[in-house]
Amino acid sequence: MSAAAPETQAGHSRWVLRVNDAKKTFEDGTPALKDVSLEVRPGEFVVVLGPSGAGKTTLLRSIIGLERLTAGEVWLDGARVETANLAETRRKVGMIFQGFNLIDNLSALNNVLSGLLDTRGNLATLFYIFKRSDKLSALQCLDQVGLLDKAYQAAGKLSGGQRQRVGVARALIRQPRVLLADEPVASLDPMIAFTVLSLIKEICAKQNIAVICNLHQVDLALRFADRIVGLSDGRVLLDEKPDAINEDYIRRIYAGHGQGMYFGAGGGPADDTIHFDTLAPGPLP
Amino acid sequence: MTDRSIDGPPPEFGIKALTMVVAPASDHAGGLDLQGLTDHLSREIGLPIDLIRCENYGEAIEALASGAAALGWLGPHAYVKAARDGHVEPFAVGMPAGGASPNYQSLFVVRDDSKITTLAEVRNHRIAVGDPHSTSGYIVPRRELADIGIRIESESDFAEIIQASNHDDALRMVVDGAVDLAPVSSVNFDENLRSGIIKPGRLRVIHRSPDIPGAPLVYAAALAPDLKRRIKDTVLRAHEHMEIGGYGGALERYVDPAEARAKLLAAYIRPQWTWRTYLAIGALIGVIWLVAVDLEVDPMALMQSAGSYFADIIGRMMPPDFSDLPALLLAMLETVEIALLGTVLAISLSIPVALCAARNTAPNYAVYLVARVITVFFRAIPEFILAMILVIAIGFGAMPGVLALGFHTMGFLAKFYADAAEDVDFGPIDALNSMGAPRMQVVAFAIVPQIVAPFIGYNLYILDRNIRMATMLGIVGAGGIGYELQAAFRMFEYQRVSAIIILIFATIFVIDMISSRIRARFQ
Repeated sequence: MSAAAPETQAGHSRWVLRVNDAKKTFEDGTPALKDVSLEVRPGEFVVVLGPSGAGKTTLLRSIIGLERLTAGEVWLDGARVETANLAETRRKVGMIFQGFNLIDNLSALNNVLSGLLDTRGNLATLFYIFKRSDKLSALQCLDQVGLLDKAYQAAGKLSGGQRQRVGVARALIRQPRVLLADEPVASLDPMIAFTVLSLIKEICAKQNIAVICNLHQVDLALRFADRIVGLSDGRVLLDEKPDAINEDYIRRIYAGHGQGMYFGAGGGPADDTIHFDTLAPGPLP
Repeated sequence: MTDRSIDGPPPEFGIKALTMVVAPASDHAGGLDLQGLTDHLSREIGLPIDLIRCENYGEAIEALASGAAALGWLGPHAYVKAARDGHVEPFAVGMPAGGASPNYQSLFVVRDDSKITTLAEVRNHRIAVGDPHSTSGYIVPRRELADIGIRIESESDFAEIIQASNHDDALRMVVDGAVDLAPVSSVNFDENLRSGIIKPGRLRVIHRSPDIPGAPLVYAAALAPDLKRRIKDTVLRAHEHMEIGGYGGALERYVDPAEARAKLLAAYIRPQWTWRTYLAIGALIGVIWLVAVDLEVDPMALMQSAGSYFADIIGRMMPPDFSDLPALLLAMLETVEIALLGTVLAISLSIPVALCAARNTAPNYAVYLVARVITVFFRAIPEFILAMILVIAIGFGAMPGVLALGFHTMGFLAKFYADAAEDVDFGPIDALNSMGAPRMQVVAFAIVPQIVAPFIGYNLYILDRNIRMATMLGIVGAGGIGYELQAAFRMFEYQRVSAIIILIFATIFVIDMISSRIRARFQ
């Protein structure tokens, strides 16, 4: 748990992550974030929902300083994220990617161990040699995601769902305060997407890790989020608990993006429409 | 809480007795001995405990789920199943006497005189399998067999499949010859050997699974928290007061499940590099060293005297003598022309050869073989040799150079194109075939567009190398700057040599820049 530092923002202990009035305009003049403010509690599962180009990825990248904000600030675990403390910031963050971004020719175990490299930059790890205690924690993370028996298989030989579980284990071994997941299940089939998100939610709730998860699937967002942040055109349109969100909200997030027909509003053929009530939380078939 | 309360009043948990259910992993008292522990526990908590040995795993799960039983031992798989439903919680795992970990394995055993030696050979034999909820008697062996394409539940993969009522039963069937093999728990196998039920050397293990976590004792999740704490505490300390038993007979003690899990994880630790890797690296260094000794290559000596060698030759080459520049430029131009023509010849020859040398475009197998032999043949003869032969045949000049380069690099290009054609995505080919497109049109529409980028890349690479090679061909009399270079060397005009080298370098540099531009445009 974070120790309260006296010089930090008042009341920070309630928030493990706070984004204040973030603005980001790319060098070519494209505005990505127009005005985004966001607060995340420890252990909370926040889904950022929005169409492609809404700024979801830019938001995540800004949090760990992969993008420099044009204006505004990010506070993580009581400290303001600045160029000077990027290394410490990233140490507290685990990241999960849409394309898994594993090293296919390395074993699942070594992929998980690669999550420790920021603090293990020594000669031995150049030859993939890690301390016994590190190997034990990597095995423990693989055990948590149910892949202990695949520890020595090449990551490339695993199925898509298994690979993303290795991705989760690689993020967990960092013992992060915050887990950033950028469309973690976009390349998985629906059943496996459900399993992977369940796993992330269960483990992070147990370990009090805050999750910020970009999604574009409304049904998954409603089912897994403790809170949904609707992002559209670089602005936060809504920030609500899932049960407060109705079809009208969703329409607004996706309005003007040609994705409205997902809800039967775009004049597409009737068979293509998905009615909102079928997306509400409920037992999986 | 005190841990000794034999004489104390029975605590008020609102229940009068507890039931403990045990899955049928073994059929004799020594194989799964929980009586002593239950008696001790019963005295400590002041409640009678009824120990029930179930007929099958499902019955034990059901008893715990329904609340009919409060305590149990289920085996790993059945435990996971019951725990996932939230009915049970683990509280203690038995550590075998003298063992470092509670882990065990699933073994495939055969009679010692059996011909079966590997897992792959078990097909079409008679097998005794365990209860479908048994981890080492069914779940793990099923997965291991499935990995090599054998289905444990399939009557067509085995001569006979008999369901054993427990591991001891399965072992007996193998010994008696009722079946040829059986997957069993290593715990039962070891216990049967230890207790003399099976004579040593009677059975042989043909396969051992990875570690399986030792199964915990569980209590029903609904039990009162105080009672749970008391039960766990008593069982974890039981070894201080008595000889304890459990699955596999005598146990050293019971440990917390978290501790047992840590031991399972530790069993998965392997060194990153084995002695084989170090041996291979050592052998490689040894061979390289021996080769260097054999060739009398002495890097130390070279380093010591390299300075003086190079100072001498470079001194003689400086400054470059460009006095005859127009003649040198003309010779250089001739070299580039030879390379260009040679490359064009190679490309035009290689396209038909490549189409015949790719399996998916060749008209038939005979043509394919002939085309492959042609590509290998011309690649095998260095253009240097080709040029020498051609100079003898047709005389000095550019012609032998063009032909030598053209035929030699045709061998390369045809192989590159053919491999690229074989690697294309077959989807578009299927689509055109399904619509009845003629064969050559399928090539033109579905294959050529897919290999345009590598085609351009290979051609530019071959042009680049042909310019370099064309300079050399001049040495055997096939025209161009190489002839000038040769002549300069012969006359000891080292300043002219350096001028020619600089000219060649500049030419290749320019060609390289141009080809990068072209390549970038097509990718």
